[in-house]
Amino acid sequence: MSLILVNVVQVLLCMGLAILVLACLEKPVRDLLDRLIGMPSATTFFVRVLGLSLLLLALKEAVIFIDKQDDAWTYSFKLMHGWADMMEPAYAVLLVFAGLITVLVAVLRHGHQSQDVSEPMVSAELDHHGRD
Amino acid sequence: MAVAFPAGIVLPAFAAFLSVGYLERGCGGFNDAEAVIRDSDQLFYVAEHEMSHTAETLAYVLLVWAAIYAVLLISWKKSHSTHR
Repeated sequence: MSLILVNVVQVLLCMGLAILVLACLEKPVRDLLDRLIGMPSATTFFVRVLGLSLLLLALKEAVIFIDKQDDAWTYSFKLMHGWADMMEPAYAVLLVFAGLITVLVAVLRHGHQSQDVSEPMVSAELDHHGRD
Repeated sequence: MAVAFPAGIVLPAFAAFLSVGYLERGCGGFNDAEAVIRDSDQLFYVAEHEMSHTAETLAYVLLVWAAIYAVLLISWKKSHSTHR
C-alpha cells in the first residue's frame, strides 16, 4: 500500500509541476504566436508540443522503481530525487522552446513591420487618389 | 509529410522501447516460472525503465518536429510575402 502511495505522490508532484509551468505559459505563448503567425492551427500545434513535452518528461520521472525493502527515508529521498531529476529536462525543453519562439519572432516580425509600414502608405495613397 | 509525421513519431518511440534490453539488466536467468516470480522486481524495473525511456524520447521527438514545422512555416511565410 505504501508503495502505491509513494508512486501516486511522485506522479502528482511531477505532473503538478508540469501543469503549473504550462498554466503559467500557455496564454502568453498562445497570444504571442497568434499575433506572430496568424494561423490558429499552428499556434495550437506549438502550444500542444510544449505541453506534451513537459508532461512526457514529467511522466518519465514519475515512473520510479521503489524497492520493497526501502524505508521511509529512502522513499522520501527517491521522491525528491525524482522531482529534481524532472526539472533538468524541463528546463531544457523550455530553453529549446524559447529559442524556437525567438527565431520565429526574429524572422517573422520583420514581415509584420514591413506590413505595418506599408499599410498606412497604402491608405494614404488611397486618400490621395480619392481627393483627385 | 502525411507519412513522415506519424512515422517520425512512432518509429523513434518504438526504437526507444526496444533499446532497453532485458538480458543486459539481469533478466536472463529465468528458466522457470518460479524464478520469474522470485525476481519480479527486476522485471518491473526493466518495464518501468522502458516506459520512461519511451516517454523521454517522445518528448524530444516532438520538439524536433516543432523545429521542423517552424522552419517550414518561416519558409512558407517568406515565399508568401515575396509573391505579394
